[in-house]
Amino acid sequence: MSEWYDEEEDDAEEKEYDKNKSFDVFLIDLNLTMFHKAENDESSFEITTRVLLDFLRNKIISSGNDMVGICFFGSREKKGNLNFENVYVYQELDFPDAQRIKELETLLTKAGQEAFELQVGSGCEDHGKALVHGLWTASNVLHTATSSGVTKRVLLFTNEDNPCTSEVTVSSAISRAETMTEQQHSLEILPLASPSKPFDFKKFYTRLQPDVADVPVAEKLTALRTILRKKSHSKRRSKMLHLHIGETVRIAVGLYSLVQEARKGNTVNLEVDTLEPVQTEVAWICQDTAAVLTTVDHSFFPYGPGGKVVFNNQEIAQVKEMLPRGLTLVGFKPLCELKDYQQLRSSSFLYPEEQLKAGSTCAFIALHKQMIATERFAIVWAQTSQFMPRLAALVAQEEVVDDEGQLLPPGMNMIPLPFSEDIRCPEKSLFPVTPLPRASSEMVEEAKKVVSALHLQDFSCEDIDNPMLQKHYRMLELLAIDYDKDMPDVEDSTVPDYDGFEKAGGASVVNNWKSVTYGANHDQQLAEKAATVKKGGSKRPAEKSVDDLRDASDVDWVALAKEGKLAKLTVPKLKAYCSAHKLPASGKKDDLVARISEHLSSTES
Amino acid sequence: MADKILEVFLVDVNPTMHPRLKDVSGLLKSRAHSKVVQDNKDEIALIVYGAEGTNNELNLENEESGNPEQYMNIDVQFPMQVPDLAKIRAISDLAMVKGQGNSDFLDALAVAIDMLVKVQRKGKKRILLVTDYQVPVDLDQTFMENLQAQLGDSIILEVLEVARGDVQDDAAEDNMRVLAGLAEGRVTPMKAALKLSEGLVALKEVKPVTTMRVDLEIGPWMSIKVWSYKKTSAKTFPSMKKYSNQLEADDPEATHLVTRATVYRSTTDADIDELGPEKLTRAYKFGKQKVPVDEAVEKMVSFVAGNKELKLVGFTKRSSIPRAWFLKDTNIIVPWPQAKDSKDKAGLDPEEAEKAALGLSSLAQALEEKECVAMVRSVRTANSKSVEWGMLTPHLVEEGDFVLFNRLPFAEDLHIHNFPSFDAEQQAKDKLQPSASQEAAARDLILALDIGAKSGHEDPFCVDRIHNPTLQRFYSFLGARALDADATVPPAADFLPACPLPSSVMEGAVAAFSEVTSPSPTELLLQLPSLCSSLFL
Repeated sequence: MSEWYDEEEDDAEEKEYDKNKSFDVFLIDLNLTMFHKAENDESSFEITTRVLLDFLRNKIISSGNDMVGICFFGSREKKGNLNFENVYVYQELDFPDAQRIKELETLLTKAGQEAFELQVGSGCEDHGKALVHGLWTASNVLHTATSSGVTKRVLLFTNEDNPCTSEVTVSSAISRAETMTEQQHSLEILPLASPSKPFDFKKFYTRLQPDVADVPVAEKLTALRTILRKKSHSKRRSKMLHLHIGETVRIAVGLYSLVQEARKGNTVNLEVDTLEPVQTEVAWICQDTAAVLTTVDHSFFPYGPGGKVVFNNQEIAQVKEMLPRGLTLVGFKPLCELKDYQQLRSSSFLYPEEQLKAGSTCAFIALHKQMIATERFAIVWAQTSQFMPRLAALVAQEEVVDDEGQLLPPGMNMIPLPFSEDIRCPEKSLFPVTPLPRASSEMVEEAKKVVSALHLQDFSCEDIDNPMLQKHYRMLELLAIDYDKDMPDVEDSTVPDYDGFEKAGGASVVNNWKSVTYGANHDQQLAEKAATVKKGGSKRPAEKSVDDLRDASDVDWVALAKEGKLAKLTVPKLKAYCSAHKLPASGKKDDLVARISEHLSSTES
Repeated sequence: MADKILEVFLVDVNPTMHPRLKDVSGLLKSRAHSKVVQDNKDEIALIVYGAEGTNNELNLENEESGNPEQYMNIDVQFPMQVPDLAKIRAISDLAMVKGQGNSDFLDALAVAIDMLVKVQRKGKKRILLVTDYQVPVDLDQTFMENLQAQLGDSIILEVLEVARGDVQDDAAEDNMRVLAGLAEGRVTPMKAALKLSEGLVALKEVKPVTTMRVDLEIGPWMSIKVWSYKKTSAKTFPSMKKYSNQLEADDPEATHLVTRATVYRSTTDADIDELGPEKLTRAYKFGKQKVPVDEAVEKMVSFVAGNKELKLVGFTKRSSIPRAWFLKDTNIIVPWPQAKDSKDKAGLDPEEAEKAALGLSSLAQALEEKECVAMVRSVRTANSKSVEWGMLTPHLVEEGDFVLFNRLPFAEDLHIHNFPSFDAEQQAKDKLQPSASQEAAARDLILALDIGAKSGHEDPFCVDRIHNPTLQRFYSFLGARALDADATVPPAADFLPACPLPSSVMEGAVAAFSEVTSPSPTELLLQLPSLCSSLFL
């Protein structure tokens, strides 16, 4: 039976996943109720626009290769290649940019909406037909961009759960959806519901997609935002590999990165006159012969003064190849043995790949369930083609679901573990002999009260935006279209909410903890100590400036400056001159020299 | 930077040592090799005693004063120098040295001490004496006291004792006692030293450097003075330089260096050959647009975090943060230590240091007991352009109560997608759900392959103590290649840690699991259609 595990599939191993791009077309319902406003509330159309803006901005931050398009159905006017009535291609499939963001932003203003009404307009007679044509058009927009290895999606926003009036339109919608599946254009429905207008999938959409009933119905803008934010990251599988258990068992898994530090994009080089991109060529040049080398397949390691030990690239690759490619199971340990400091870099997520190896899902789920039941994690060796192998912990993750859908997917997280060389013990070298004093139970009790009082309710990492990235991209967005808008204030959500602490009664609990731990008159003691330090310290600057004057006076500054030899002096000397003449003494040596020359020439004249 | 070490390898090559010199040379070679590959500027010298020839300064000095018979048969193979290939070769040739001379360890020590005293460079001075104690010595009391005084605090003597043969005699006993006294007990048996090194390259200990010295602020009301250090940091594969073999390897003029040249060409004007730096400007990408960057733009787009700080944002349940969300390597936060002496300006006075320790200890213990974590905002330097955020978790160990700081992801760093559920309904449809017997087999496998630490037993697989096998393999290959250009990559199995489970246990457990979980061919056929539709959901 186990021959299914023995077959050779070497070419499948670690197959790079090339579906690294995603193309999304939004198909948005424009029926009149989309524009209805409840009191002091935004219309469904406005909510959709806001969410789209969020989506585009996220795309720019997270994935530069993805394209987005926007179509409307149920519009008065028509536009697009297929020229259907009541369908309007508003933004063709392209990379998101500031212009498009600006276009959407104006839709949130009154004037913008009036212009939109003239340009696109709402209203059509057969809404079902418009939907069918809308789907067709969206598919067509996706299809025109022929590119292999791309995930293509149509994201449908609607508040109408029963758009079709006749069975004929229903069946043409169904056949349309089938064609889309054949073309590998996935359809995702994003229902917009309001208290006055609930959304029932069973009326129509389950006939398009049987499993659509699981999709949560968003009533709030925030919920919809969260859902769409998830969708804005394309699911990226970085690798497919095997988990080897002993000699005989292999389970195929895909590796995904669900947590990865987002950075601001690197700069690119442009030609200064035309602002067009430049072509960059890199050449390797032999220093001995000045020849341009087409390939450099050797490298060396410096060995003692002047020594070189030379290797060819295959040898280095061979050194790093310690184990069979993929994951090799070592054994299982109780979860409590995974320490918080056994942490080097972000984890990867593992999900079974049935099509690479039949039976993988079943074996994976069985292990997953039992690892949770027995509270164990697995230790594996992880060997890839480019990197040296590391030990890693596989921790089973249970699926977490709430009303808004899946919060955490089921699978296993792979956490790379540090080797003994990677762990440092400053606590041992700093406090080697006598252990540090430990807090008394009274102190701990007070600290526990603080922990309870300042507890964050409903806390989630997903609510903390990266203020550096937000600022970077908000400002770039402004610069990219330079439109007059006030500088946006980028909120830094990492700043603690001291008002909230105050309201939660933080002052008294923290002060109690402080006085129990530090003694009642801690602040007073500190103030006294600060006062004595100040007294001692206040004399020094005066003495120093006398020193400085003397230091500075044994140099013929004017002569040196004239000969351009100021830079021959040491930095302390230069600084002494600066402080003696009340110039700022900061900056690099060149700055100091420039400042002094300027000062000398101004005093002379 | 840690002080460099100046070390004399002082090796007994008297006839009784001959059979052991191969091991000695191997051990010393690996010590020297460690120093070379880490390029840490340590210096070594090699002196043998009981050698055929004589070559040492004390002997020369005595000769000048008309006393040529002193300090005979002590041969300085190479003086105190930064080790290179030639030195490694000299150490490796030690195995062939068959000294027949007559010389004892007291004279040899005197030569080594003399060499260290004359070295002008700063550093920690050490002598490693390798001997089997067999050569009888005239234990002259005055001479010994003299040596002891010269060793003093400035030179550390360590003895590597080679297992003595069957011959037990009083002379050897005396020698052992004397040397143990001079070395103040720093005596290591050769066997233990070989076992300890396991042929491993001793990687340089990184001197801990604070990443931050700051007040941990608990609201506007309280602060704990703390220092922060790196707790983990990945040692990467050594970086190497590109090597050009345009000239012969033994060409004395050749540098073999390769430089990288970057050329920028215009995409609009084919006539322009190369764009100089003045013709280039940098730009940030915003979607498909590019925004040229100058100083003003750079200033506009960059975030300024403000003051250096470490501030509590709030507490939350430990269970609400998945372990897999930890973003980077770990830092440890320790209480601001007490000043060591009056010159130590960085330390606190004893009273404040105690407060810092108690403050951190009470926080760590409270977190432990409440099963909570403290979310914090951290800015490492004043006017920094970056702000980090993460959580503090307790780290209660023998030395005291500390907290660990792990960075957590921002919203932009999380790319959580939906994956099909493992719940019974969904997967049963696809016939992918394990049966009760398959789950039982998985459970048996997990329990059979248990490598957890049991109380009272040594941890069968303590990850913290496992060396990075690839680095060891590389350094070992490097050492072999340095001496022999034809050396090939040593087998991986020599460096991988032993499998913690007997292979019979592994095979048995896996066979039982694979028996139950492998799909039968017929099941497979049934599965195929549903499989295709469930791909890439």
